[in-house]
Amino acid sequence: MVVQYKCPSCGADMQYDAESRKLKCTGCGRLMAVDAMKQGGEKEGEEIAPFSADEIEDETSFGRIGEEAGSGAFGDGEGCQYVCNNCGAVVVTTTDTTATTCSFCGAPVVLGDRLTGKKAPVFVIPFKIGKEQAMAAFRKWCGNGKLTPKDFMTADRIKNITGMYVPFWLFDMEGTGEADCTATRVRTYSQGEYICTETKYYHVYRRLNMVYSKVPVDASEKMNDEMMDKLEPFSYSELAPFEMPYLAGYLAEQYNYDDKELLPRVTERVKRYASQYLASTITGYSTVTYNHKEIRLNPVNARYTLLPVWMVCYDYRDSEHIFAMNGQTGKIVGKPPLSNKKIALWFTGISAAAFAVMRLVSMFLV
Amino acid sequence: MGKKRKIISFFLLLLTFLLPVGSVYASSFSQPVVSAVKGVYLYDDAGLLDDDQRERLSEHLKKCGQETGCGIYAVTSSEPGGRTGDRYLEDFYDNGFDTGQIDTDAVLIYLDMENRYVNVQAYGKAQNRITDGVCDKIIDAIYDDLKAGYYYNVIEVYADEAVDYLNYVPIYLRAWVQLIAALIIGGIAVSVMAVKSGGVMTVNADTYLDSRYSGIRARRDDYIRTSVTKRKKPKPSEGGGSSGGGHVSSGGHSHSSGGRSF
Repeated sequence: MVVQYKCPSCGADMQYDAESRKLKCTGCGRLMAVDAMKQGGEKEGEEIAPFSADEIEDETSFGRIGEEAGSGAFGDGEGCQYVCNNCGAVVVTTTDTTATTCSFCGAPVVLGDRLTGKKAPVFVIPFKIGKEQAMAAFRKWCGNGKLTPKDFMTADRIKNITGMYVPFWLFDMEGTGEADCTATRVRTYSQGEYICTETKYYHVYRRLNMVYSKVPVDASEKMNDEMMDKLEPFSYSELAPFEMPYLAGYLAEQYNYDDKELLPRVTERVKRYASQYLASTITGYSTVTYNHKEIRLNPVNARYTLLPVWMVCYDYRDSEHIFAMNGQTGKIVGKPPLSNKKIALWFTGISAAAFAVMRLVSMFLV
Repeated sequence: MGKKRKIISFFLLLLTFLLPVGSVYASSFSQPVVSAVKGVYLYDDAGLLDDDQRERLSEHLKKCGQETGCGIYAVTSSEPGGRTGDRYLEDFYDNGFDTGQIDTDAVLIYLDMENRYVNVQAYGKAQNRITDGVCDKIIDAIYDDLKAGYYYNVIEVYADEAVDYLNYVPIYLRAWVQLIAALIIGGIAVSVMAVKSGGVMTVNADTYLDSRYSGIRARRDDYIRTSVTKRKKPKPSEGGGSSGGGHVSSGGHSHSSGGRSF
């Protein structure tokens, strides 16, 4: 099922516009609220509500071919061919693509059937930073790099910049933390000609309740986990219930890892947070030694969510550098090339300054 | 004639009586201290050295002073005029200071042959390095020669020791140590810059914590016991800190000092 949004005025393709937070017609510039485009818009004259599969009963039933043949069966939507409603060309997709543009006519295409059932996202944070804004922000960021080569700073070789909804799972975890420690308070005071060190020992116990909500974990195989982690935080106040029109004009992928597969990763991360939280409740002591520490965590919810990311491909001296920008906050991550010359300059500069300061201080002390 | 002379002598008497009122302390001693002369670092009033030794030591003290930027003096006396302890050197320095004939940054040794007493003091910048403790250490180094009466050696060793302490640079103030430290700082700073250039993690343990449902459910902080360990205070004189000994001369000059009978 290919979903495309047509302008009611001129019939041109509409795509989601980050600045106005509405669908914008590429032809006449008309803006339409996302809510208004939820239903129709697939094809002209589609005023009738579609049949619901549950209401119509099967006339006969058939056995499933996969059960007898034993050959590899096609999964959901796999091997399907999508045809652009505008030009009739085959839309080139990978099995993970859920939104793209027609490579032939450039029309925004949303693959609706890959966004239903188990693969239906619950939430989406729509793009807040548009393409031009993203480009400008990226250029500025390149110019700020203290160690990046001069010719990189001009940022004139941006190969492409792609707005992409990356699949994440937002985990809600709840749990308890328990710690049993021996802690000390150390105090020194002088008494006559002696210095006394007084150590008071305490037996400390803490039991905590903790809830971590909406911890994001990148569910896409393609995306570098570390890079995606660094893109955080996303502001959840702009979290919206998922609607397909948000994807119009952007790339989107479906998840490769489901919530169960990602549970160990999120548990490990939240455990680290919980451990810090537990430690932060034991205050006022000089030393703390844990006798027993236990953190139990249970997942409560995992919500499939699409988060906006601008991916920037940059060609620099025959190698490609990939940067990601948080499509909501504009935070940029990715390894820029480093200039040896600049590293040497900074190194000498800082070392020389430090040396000068130390010499100056010595002159006063000698 | 006779009357005139009487009047003059009366006035002279009056004058000698009135003059010391300005410096009450000076009057209480029977002998004046030897007065400092610019560029002279050896004052052997007691005559402990022969001419040749005197000449060589004068040169040596002068050279040591040039090396350190502080005057290194040696004073001996057999007629302290009742001055004991720190007094003689204090007066010597005060006088020299008032007449401008003494180096304001100075290390001095004084051998009182009447009381067989040795005193080392340091003034001005010199007392930062030559503290009370160091004064004692210098006396330690010369004490055997002093008892045996090898005064030439005493003054020579005293001067060498003073130079060593004055020119001593703590390890963290030495140029090569600081250069290495500076290079390490530069290296760390550039590494941090390089790592940060790829973007940093800005979320922390609190970001996703839902405070409405999180908190302490139970806690105990039970006191078990107290243990106390005692340690003797280090002697303040051995601390070798940057300040002098807190001694002040009657002329108001603070200095460090160490003295001993021999």
